[in-house]
Amino acid sequence: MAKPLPAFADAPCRSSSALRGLRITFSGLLCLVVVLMVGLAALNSEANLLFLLFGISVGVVTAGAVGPVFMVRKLEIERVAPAAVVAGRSFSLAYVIRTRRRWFNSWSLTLGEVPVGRRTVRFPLAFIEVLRPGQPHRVELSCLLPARGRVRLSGVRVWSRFPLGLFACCVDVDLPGELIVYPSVGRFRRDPWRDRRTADVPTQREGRRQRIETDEFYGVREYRPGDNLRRVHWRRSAHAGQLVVRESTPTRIQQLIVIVDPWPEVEKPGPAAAPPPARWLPRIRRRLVSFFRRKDGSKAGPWPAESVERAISLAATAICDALERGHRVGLIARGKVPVVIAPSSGRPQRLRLLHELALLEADAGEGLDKLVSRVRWAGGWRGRCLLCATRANSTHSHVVRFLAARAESVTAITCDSDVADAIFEWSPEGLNEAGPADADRPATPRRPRKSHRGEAAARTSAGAPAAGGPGP
Amino acid sequence: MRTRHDFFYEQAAVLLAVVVPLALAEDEWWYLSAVIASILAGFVTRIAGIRPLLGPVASRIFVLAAFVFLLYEYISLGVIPVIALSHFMMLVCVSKFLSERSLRDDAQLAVLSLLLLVVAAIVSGNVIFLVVLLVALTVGLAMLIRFNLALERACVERFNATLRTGGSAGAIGPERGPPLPRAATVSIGSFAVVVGILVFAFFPRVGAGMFGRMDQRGSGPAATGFSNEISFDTIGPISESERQVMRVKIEAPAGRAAEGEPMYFRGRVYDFYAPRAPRSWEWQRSGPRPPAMTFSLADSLGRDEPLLLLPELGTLEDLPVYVERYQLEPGTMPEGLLPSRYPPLGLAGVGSEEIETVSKSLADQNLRVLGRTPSKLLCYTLYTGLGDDETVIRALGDEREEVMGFLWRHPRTQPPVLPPEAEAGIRALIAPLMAEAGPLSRPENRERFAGLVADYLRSERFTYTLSPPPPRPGDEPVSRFLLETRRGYCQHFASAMVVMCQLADVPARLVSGFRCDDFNRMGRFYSVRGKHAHAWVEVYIRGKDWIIFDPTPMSNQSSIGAAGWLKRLRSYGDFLQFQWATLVLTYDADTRQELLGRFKEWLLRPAAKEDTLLGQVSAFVRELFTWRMVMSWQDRLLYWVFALLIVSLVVLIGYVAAVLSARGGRRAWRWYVSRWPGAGRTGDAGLYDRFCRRLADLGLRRRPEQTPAEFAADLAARFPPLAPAPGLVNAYYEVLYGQRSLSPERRRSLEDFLARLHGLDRAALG
Repeated sequence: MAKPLPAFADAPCRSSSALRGLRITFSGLLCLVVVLMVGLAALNSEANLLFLLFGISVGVVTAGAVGPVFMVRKLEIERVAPAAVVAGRSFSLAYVIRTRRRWFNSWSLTLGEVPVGRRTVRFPLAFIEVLRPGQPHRVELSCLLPARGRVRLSGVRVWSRFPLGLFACCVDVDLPGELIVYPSVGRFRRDPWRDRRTADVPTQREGRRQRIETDEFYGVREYRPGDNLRRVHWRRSAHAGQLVVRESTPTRIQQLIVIVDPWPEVEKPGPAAAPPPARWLPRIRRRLVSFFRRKDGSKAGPWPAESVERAISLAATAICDALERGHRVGLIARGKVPVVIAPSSGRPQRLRLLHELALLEADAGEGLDKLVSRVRWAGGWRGRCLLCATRANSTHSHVVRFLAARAESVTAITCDSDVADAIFEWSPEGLNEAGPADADRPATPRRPRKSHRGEAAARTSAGAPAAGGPGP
Repeated sequence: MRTRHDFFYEQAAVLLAVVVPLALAEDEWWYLSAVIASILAGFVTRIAGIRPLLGPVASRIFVLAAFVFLLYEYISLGVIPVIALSHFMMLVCVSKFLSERSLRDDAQLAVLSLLLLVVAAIVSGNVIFLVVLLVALTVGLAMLIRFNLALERACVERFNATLRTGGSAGAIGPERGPPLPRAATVSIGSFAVVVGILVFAFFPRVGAGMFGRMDQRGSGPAATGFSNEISFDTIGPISESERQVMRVKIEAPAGRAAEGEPMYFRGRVYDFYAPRAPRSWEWQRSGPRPPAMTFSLADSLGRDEPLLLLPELGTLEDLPVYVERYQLEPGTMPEGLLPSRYPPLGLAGVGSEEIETVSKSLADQNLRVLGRTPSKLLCYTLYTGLGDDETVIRALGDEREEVMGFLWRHPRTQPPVLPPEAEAGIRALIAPLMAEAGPLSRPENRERFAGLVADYLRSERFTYTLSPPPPRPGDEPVSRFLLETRRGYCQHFASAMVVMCQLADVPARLVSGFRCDDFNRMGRFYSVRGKHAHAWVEVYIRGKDWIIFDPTPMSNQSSIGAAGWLKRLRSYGDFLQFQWATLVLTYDADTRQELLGRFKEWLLRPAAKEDTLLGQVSAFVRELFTWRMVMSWQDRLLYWVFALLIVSLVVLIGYVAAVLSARGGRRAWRWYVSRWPGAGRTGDAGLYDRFCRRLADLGLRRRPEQTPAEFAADLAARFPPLAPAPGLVNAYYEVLYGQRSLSPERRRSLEDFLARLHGLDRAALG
């Protein structure tokens, strides 16, 4: 039998005073009714034993009301959170709590983040049975945030229902902060830049493509499913107790420009292709469906949120993979605030790119072709270009043509296509080093529904000029 | 898991503690046996690691059967609802112990234990309830606290599981039960006891039930809800009433007076004393009842003349009578009996129309109502020949003897109805005794005759036994005892003596009651138990009133049985029970007043000669430090404890007042600061605040859209005396935003400017 969480656990109201945060629970209400009935029975029958029992019950109820207030007073809480985390991968969130009292323990404390507005992100709760004075208590929670973005943290809510659960007292400790949630990082099933024969990403200029040599030792890392067994460092594996593989870097530093367009412009059909005017009933139905889809937040605009996240995740994966191989990576992202980051390499560049991808927002105004045409790199467009989009449209064709004339190669991928599925694996197993934060329990993001994938694949194969196909 | 075992043990302890007083009060021990058996079965299944004996379906069927049994008890057997409900709850507990498997079962057991505790408080009047409270406040409280901790842990774990984080919170670790918060348990239990005693002692008692105040008034405080084990305020009148012919005969131990010590009725002894079950010697008669004198009250309604109950008296005007007016409320009247002093001579003014006839028993002189007991207020006036009031007795003088003689001659006209051969046989028995005693017209001969009869019955001719031969249908029991069996117990002997005396024209009556010789030296009271039940005889001797004769052969033996440690142990138990009954069960407003009075008297002993409060306090303090009075170390220790308590209370109140004052002061200060922007600032920035306040006094306020610099520039342009104002604002800016401090010269010049400004009025500004 588990009690439900108290109602104030999700309430956005704030009470920094312990007395104001005192609430009676449902059990307490029932107990109070029983105690009052015993009191009335004592008064009616003048039975002294009932008077005695009533008095003791009043004492117990009073102690039950004073207890929670006493437990949550004089607490100091410190949140230890990483600056950034990866969506879909667990991270550790720690609290250090101590009491300023010198004599008495604090029992049955429950900690949780204060909900901000109608935020759907929920953090796990921590339960501390006893907090002794003078001994800071550190509690670590394994958290998981499903979506990228910025999560604002306003404070920590502490409540206690000690000793009997009749009353609960809740206080909010102001601890403002924020978490940047990077997009989830997957893995490539095979090296898209190296194995041209097996890659499903045909490029335009095969003659220019150079084979990536991995002849320079870079370091070792643990084995991930799919790694070449010839790369296993057996001696180090025996020493570490787990499989460890060698990593190599190409001798020649490549450059990769990742262009992300998660929310492509919706093309208006021409007058010839315009569908016949719908009857009034289907039209109303379509409007209602679109209205409710927008309202529940699952689909912002005509692009499924999952497809958008897949596109961004695909870009993040490509960025991490290329940076891991020592390439210079740049980013052009179309969003509410257009992002243009010059190619560079190294860990700071990876954090910067992931940060921008994490904060990428919809409501784009400027077209992607205009954005790309305005970009002037110091080193020019040499190197490879990767265009990740939710769906392909004519703008992307223009962009591919524009880049094909300048870059070494151009690869355009729509995230729901079979091509993307062939080279990109969503399960981020073994990508511990890809994310900036410690991630020891990866989780698999949802795959898009078959209808979406089917739709995307159908459109891709139907002749979208640049989606998965060779550029001009 | 360890926690679940702990819950099991604690719940078993609490439930056993609660069920014992219930079984004791109801004398229904099979419920206790069922609970114990279920606990043992549950324990064995846990130890053996096998699954519970009852599955979910069987458990539900068990509870359903218990509910059916509840209805059967309530409807068919007429069991009181609360009792039937407690039986149901006990059976549900049995089911839980046989099928317990989750925290939900633990919670239900805890709730059932709490409700049974309430029922035990209603039903029980035994000191065992104190043990129940102790168990509930220690083991039960610890169980509840631990249970709440486990619930909180489960709650958080379940919430985290819904988040699919893949793991639980770090603090929720091993499957080990939460530690027992002993300090918290002791603190909460002590606090609850203190609050409970305070509520118990000072909660107002209204004297009767709140809802039943109108129809239960005058019934006296109930010790407990259903147990009428003890009620001291009604024992006295009953035991002293001649009408009842029931007494408690106290046989004090050697060297101790029998008067003045309280009596304590144990168990169901008091039930025999209840007015609704009067005992008189007429019950022994298996033959036709003696005729009663029946009078119709229809003629007496609304008349002041008394209805003469004894026509042989002629008229009451010729006799010295004592007039008493009775007013009986419904519920206080014994069933079928009209309270009256002995002997009743006349009746008048019966105010209830429900009584049409009244009869006077010729056997025990009681007034009886024919028909049902009145349900309305009953008023009547009674004329008696004797009263307990000494003035009346003194007023009667010698005529009292005459009246008594007449009264006791009157039953002779209606002799005991005995079969002729039996009466002849008894007369043959008493004839030699009458001859030996002499003429019975003289009181001393009557007393001697009664003594001879008692000696005769105590002789070896008769055998005392608790299992006499069973009575035969149609036989008169007294004559059979005297003439045939000669074996019996106290009531046979006493009844036989009464019949023998009355056949000899000696007024005698049977007294049923208790012969008590069990004196508790620790509590200084007499314990009256069921084994003390006895019957004896009172004989009226002119000049000596009623004299007790006990014809039972074993009557001179003490009823006190075992000696040594067993007796001492029983004595301790009686003492505890007596104190529990005296201090707790019968505690009422009068007791509280008396206790407070005694406490006040004890407290003010050092200040007995002081009149003022200050003088009393100073005398008390002087006594604490100078030890002027001679008192025991316990008293002195208690004085110090009381003084320290008072000091602690004063300190606590002072602390709370100081904290509240500080908070109020801070709030007032914040309010003041919010009203006057910058009023709280001191130092260099305060110069600007003072400047603004002075300008406000002069009626010059800064407009909202103006900055301080613009305001100062405007002032300087409009009023020449305010020309230094921009400089002051600049200084304010430097202090506020530049984090600088003013030089002494500059500050001095600004102070001078403010001083000049204070000397100006609006007219001087121009």
